[in-house]
Amino acid sequence: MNLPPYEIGSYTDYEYCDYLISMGSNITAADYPMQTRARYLQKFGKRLNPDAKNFKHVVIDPRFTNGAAKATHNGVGEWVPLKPTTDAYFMLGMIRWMIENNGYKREYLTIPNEKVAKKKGYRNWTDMTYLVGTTKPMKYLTGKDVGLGQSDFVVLINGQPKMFQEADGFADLDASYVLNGVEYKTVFRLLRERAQEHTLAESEAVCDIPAGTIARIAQEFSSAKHPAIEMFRGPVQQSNGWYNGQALCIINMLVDNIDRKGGFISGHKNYWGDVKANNKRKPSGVRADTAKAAYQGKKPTATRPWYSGYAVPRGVTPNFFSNVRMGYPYKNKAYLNYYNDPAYTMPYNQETIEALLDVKAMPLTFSIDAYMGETSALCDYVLPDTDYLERVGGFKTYPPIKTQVFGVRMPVVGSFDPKTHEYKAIRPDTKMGDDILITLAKECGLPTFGKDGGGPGVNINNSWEFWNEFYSHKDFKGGLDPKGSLVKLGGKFQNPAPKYQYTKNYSSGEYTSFPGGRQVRVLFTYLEKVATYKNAMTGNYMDGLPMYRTIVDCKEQPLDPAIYKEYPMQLHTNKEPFHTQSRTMNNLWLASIKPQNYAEINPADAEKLGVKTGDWVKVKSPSSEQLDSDMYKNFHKHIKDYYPNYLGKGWFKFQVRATSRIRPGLFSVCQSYGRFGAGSPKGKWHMNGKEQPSDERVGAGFHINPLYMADPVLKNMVLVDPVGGATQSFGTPLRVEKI
Amino acid sequence: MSELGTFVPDEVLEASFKKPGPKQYTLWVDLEYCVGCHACTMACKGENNTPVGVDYNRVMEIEVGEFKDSKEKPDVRVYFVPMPCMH
Ligand code: SF4
Repeated sequence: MNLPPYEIGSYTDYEYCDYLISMGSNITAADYPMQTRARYLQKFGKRLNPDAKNFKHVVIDPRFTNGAAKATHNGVGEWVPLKPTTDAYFMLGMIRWMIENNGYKREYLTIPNEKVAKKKGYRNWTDMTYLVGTTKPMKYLTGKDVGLGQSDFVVLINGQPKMFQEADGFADLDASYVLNGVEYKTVFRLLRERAQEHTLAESEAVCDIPAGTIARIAQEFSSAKHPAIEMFRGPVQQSNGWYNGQALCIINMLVDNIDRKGGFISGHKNYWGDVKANNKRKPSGVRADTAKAAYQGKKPTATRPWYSGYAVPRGVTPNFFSNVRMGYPYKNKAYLNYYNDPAYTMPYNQETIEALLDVKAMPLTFSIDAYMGETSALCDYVLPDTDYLERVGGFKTYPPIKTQVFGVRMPVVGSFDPKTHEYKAIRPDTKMGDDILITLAKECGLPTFGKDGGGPGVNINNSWEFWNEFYSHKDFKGGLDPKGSLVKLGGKFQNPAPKYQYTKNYSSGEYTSFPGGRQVRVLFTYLEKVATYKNAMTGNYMDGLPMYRTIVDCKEQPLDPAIYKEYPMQLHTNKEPFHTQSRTMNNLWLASIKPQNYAEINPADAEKLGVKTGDWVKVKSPSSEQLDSDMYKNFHKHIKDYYPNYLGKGWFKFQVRATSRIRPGLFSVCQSYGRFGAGSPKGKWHMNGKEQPSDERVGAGFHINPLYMADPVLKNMVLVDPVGGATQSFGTPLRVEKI
Repeated sequence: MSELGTFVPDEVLEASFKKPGPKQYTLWVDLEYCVGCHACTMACKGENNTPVGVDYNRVMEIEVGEFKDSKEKPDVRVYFVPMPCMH
């Protein structure tokens, strides 16, 4: 796909943007890179920007985030308190308004190929004029299908089909063509028809926002000089996440701002090195989380979901733990956890905890971890990692940085053996994570490690040797030579002067230069690779365009409306700028800033419930009663230790705080508290038979993960996006009562 | 709604620099920049090594306005006010 990955791929070029919509993006308090983006927005966007005076920041979020506080500070920006899970309605509503009111860049969208794009002064073009069949699986019409020749796409020029590469001018935008009784429509027409499935009033009712909001925002957005809409995890961490991300990218495409100065940019291509070895091994076979593959079973439909390799770039953790418990598609023998704490962080974490406690499901478990956490406490062996100041490594940065960068990390403390370059950490019982992995690899006899691991004469025995080799190839040279500029400067940085950031080579306007990146590209609205992938649970093809959807289960069915009646509130989580999710509560300085969290609710709900800040309520979800069932019998033995606020029968008690920063109907909990590992006395843990010290300040507050709703079909896993594999991170219907 | 961010106009600040005589220094924090990250509290703690629970610097989060009806445009503001002790 030529659109950047939906999660952390693209942001706005704040320096020249004048209308920014942040959708489910907790800018200034979260998201990578948090500090950089905060500074770019506050300083470059709102102060140094030539359009600083007109800069309008619209924050679409169920919570009045710190970013919303900043957006409204100058009286210009605004907060749109969208109901969680309704993002698709808002965005498709915007698309509808923009299409019906000429709020899109028509000329740009009618460009069929690179040749025409070049002629007209554009660097990229879209698939909006390409024809797609209307029978499933809906594929692009090809040159062969029409009998014209070899071509992946066909466009219409004045109603006549033509291979896309042969078009010399603009193609028909909103058109269709019939071939052998099958109708083929342009992507633009499919999109328009999709967007027109609901009126703006219907969308606004679903989003629960004042009437007229969508039209107003869409109008302001499409008439701005440099508009951009960006996201972080809000729109995508949901069961409709994939399509939400796609809709957001489409809105940007409609106003031709992708890769543009002041637009939606995927930043630079980072510098890269290499460890050369021609006998590198690749993973093979079916992954334990049944991701990145099509269903391979014999029955027409599967019993567990499978996730497309195209749409799921990494993996599906909740599916891993549920699969492991069921021995699907095979039994697990050993588990190595690295720098991850799914027992705490996974929504519907009872499944993770139960899997880790069940010796039949997970007979042998290891964890490499720098901080003791809930998962490590439940593993058989813990291999203590060093901290970030005791590491060799490197990292790229994310947009909005538009020139090439690569940071090199060297230990600040500890020492290297001058001969072997073996690292000695401050604490004798810890070892650099990379060193642990390389030691394991050598023990397992993997070919690219140890003597001559990186080719003849190049040994890869430890982290230093690996990175020294990495920094000797491709964009780097000189390795980790302490006198070389790489180590002295702490990385490699391109001159960030504006002339390197932007290019004026195109008559239609400036683009970011993307040093090293692919510059000329087609942007896809319609995703054929999704439309030709079958949902393993139903056997039906998925859809290639965004859809009006809220929560769906693994069979892509909406939740039973009766559930919402019985459970009228919605689960929601939030983040403080000074906390991470699972790695900071054990820092007592940080813990002291706000010693505990609360369930935050709107004052209107507080009134309805008859409670005020500091009072207690009890809360339950449609699936939390399962905690008392046989499904979680091992966890149940510990539940009162881990969750002292568990009342039984699926009910948990929480202390509330009433605040107008939360939209009505929400039950929002900051996701860093209520620890039952990490040195909290709640989950006592033992090392070598000895109970480890604890501090109750670490365990203060509440944790909401067991209240996430399980998929009503699968029953033992949180709701997960059938396309993109993201967990439904909020929006679980809840029932809240005063106690 | 009055904007807390504008209570030291630039002219007033400039004029004060021009005044003859001994200077009285103040710490001016531009509230429009402050994102409420509490890093200043932590920096101060690190510098002065205060025990847990004793902070010379704090950041207030002031909530103004009320939002209770989702059918109306919300009118809520939040101001972050860092309060250094000026030491
Ligand atoms: S003043 Fe303090 S809270 Fe505000 S942005 Fe600066 S460090 Fe963060």
